Amino acid sequence: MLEVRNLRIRHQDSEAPLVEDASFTIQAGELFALVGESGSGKSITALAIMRLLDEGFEPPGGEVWLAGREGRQDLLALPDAVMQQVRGDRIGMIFQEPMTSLNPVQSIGEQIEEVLSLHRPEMSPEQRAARTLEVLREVQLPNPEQRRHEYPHKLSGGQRQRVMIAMALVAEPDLLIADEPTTALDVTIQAEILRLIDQLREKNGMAVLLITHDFGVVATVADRVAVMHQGRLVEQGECRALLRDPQDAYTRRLIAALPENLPPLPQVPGAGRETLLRVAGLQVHFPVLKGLLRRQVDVVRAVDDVSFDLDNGEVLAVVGESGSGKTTLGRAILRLIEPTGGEVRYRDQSLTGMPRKALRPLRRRLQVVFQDPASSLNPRLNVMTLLTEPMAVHGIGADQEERIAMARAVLDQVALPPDTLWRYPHEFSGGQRQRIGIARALVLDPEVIVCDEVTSALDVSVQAEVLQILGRLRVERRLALIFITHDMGVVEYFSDRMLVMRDGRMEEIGATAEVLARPQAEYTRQLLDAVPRIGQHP
Amino acid sequence: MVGEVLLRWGARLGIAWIGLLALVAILAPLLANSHPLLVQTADGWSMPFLRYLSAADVTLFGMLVLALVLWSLRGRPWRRFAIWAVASAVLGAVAWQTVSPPSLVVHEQYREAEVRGEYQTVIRAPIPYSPRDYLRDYADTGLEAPREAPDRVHWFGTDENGADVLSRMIHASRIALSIGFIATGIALGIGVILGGLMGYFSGIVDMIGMRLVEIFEAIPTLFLLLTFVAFFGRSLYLMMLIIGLTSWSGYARYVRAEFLRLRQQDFVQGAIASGLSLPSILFRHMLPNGIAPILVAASFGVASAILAEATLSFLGLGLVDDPSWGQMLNQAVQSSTFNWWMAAFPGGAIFLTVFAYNLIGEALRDAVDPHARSAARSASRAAARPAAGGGATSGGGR
Repeated sequence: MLEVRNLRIRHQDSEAPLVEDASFTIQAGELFALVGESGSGKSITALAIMRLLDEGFEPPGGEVWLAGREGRQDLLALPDAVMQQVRGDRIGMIFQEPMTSLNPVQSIGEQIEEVLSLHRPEMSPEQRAARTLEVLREVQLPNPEQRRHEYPHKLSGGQRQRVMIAMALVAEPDLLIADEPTTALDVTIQAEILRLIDQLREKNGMAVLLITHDFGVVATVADRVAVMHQGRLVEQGECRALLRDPQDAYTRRLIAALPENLPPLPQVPGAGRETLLRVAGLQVHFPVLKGLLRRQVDVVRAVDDVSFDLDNGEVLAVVGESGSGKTTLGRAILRLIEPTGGEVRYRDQSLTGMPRKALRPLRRRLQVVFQDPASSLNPRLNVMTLLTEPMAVHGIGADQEERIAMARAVLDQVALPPDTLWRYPHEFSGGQRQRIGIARALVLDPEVIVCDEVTSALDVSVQAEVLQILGRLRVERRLALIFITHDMGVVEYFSDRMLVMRDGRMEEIGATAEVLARPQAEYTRQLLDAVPRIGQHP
Repeated sequence: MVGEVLLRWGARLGIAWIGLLALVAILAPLLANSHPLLVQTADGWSMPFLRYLSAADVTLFGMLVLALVLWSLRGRPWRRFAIWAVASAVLGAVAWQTVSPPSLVVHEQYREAEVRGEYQTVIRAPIPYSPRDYLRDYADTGLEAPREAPDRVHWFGTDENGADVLSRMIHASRIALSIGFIATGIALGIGVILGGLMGYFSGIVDMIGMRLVEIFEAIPTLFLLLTFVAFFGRSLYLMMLIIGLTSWSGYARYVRAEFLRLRQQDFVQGAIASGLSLPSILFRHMLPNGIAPILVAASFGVASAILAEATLSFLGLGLVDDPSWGQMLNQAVQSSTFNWWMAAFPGGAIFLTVFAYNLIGEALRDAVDPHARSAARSASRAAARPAAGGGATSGGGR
């Protein structure tokens, strides 16, 4: 169906090519996965096939042959006008971010019909409307007769991704390119979307090029896999064989970095001897105000009646899908958001009852690390200032010199070189910034750290590094961690106990191994079933 | 950001003009003065102009010298600026206490002495007339077009009292610059603090703050100035204060919007979680990340403050004895015949200065605009990182 030969992509301003000598073929009806970490060149490979590269790129070298009704064509050699027909008609494409891929001022029906009017000009408006309805039914959008008149903001993320798929499929393309189609979605929805793509592939006999970073997803759906590393295809082959017995060193390293394959963490001596944090009936309700007088008509229960204890040296994973209130819970414990009810006790002090001023000296014992390493460090201050300023506030270290020495020691603990001190956040990669974020929490010598999705924005190998560092620090410093995440693999690997949240309420809490093996709540079971794992294959 | 601003030729022109004006304003007594800079008499050398320097002249000279000295020294920019500001304030206070130029100034005395042949050598300022030198030693003073007078050179002509227009303009540039800077500085100070508090605390503080902003936005600056001039007489400092007190609302809105956005950023949450004090969070962690759009507004604000003063002076409510550009325009209209040089030169100076600030503002705005900037930045980033990965272009939503 598609044959890519020696594809070579260069950016005008860069010396080295971004993709070099990539060759692969995709058979009709096959699901071919292109796997790699961020920056490996997998997305621009897809864009090059679609001829959608930005102006800054040189015309790609090599050949891209697409077989179809009119015989084989080299897409890279086609004139622009013909290529325009190929896009949408012969190749459909879906993107990662369903929030921004749809036009917000057109109803979804109009957007799908526009594709049809471009590629099937012979169809009458009635036929187009009928086909639109049919394709919306195909992607299993509930209630398509009404939904097609709605605008994108009314749809959830999963529904939008369904609409995107409908748009890509409406002209019945031979090839579907899906660029990280489920990365922005929750696991349960991800499972549904993957199942949908798989069903549609079987039904229409189309080929799919799936671009992803997630080996679990690959294992669940792909027939064949190619692994990309720094613009080169290092290995390709049949999916199960490749995952079971990777040949290339990089592939092996990548698979070894998955949380389920990481070496077990050391135990914390003396863990669980004392209870550090006691959360009882915690509530965060946001008022919904309406009307001229801003009357309160309702409340959003972001966190509702959550209770748990946290012992020293313990890792409690807080698991849930987006909107389940897990981030709000983490922030409410630290009083970054004011709780509206319930109590948080740290040792023998009630955090929720005390005035903010009294809370300040306690802050050094309760720290936080955030998800997005790009926005969690002040871009205008260098690392030395970022680390020593909180120390000075809490009176740690006699003078600046001592504080700098302590900061250097902490940087060493998170495996960063000492010259990091004099640099600014933008000079670091995501994983390095995350480690600086951890260092900032550590300099205050805390007992509890709330880790809010700290590894979600990171590549697998970087995630492995950060997890190892956290695991080691936990032993060295006897830290208790509240580890907020949506990634079951990380939960299984890293946590002692887990708390499952849904719509602000606790569904279940218990020892991680126990919950994973014998989930009590129905929702936990659904969640666990939806997680794609490298061991399974349809 | 500074580099991006300077890439634009408009900004370069604007900055060049403002820089030139600032230099002229500081060095005004050296550039246009009836008193010679240096004379040699039978008693030896002397510098007569020194005796007539005002406290403001001395302070400005001192500030310039200090700035040059500190510029050449090493150290952190902020620390050097702080030293400069403190030293300037001390210098100003001392100068105001000690320097007292003679209240009766006879501008003609040195010219007459020169005619009498008392001096062996005389070095005069490039424009040898003070702004209030009405040339009483010449019999027929009055309106003269540029370069009309047979025995004197007036590049820009004279006004109806016989004073040199260019000299008056040079001394008036001080008022134009200082009213712009100080009025905007007052407005910025109030706006940043109130806007910052509104954005950071939001809720009830924001509610009250926004109502205050709306109240101040409803006050017409010009009419308030007219009222105050009527009550309290004419004072440059009062004018600065009133323009500053009535124009902070725009800055407060900008800062509030920026702070509302920054408040949600993780690094600010992290700063709060670290137990940092409120001033540190507001001014060290939030303000530097949100200052750019405020600077844009400020450069337009300087221009409008200059215009406000010019308008007031044009209406005849400005300063009485010190020349200002607006007041000179007023003179041009008041006289019975239209004399182009009295209108064109001060009017042109106002135009150029306001235009220069607007050019700088435009360039700042372009540099801050994320749309314009992302293109420039991605180009420079690709140039800086030869082996850049495809990650930069792999985002969705295409």
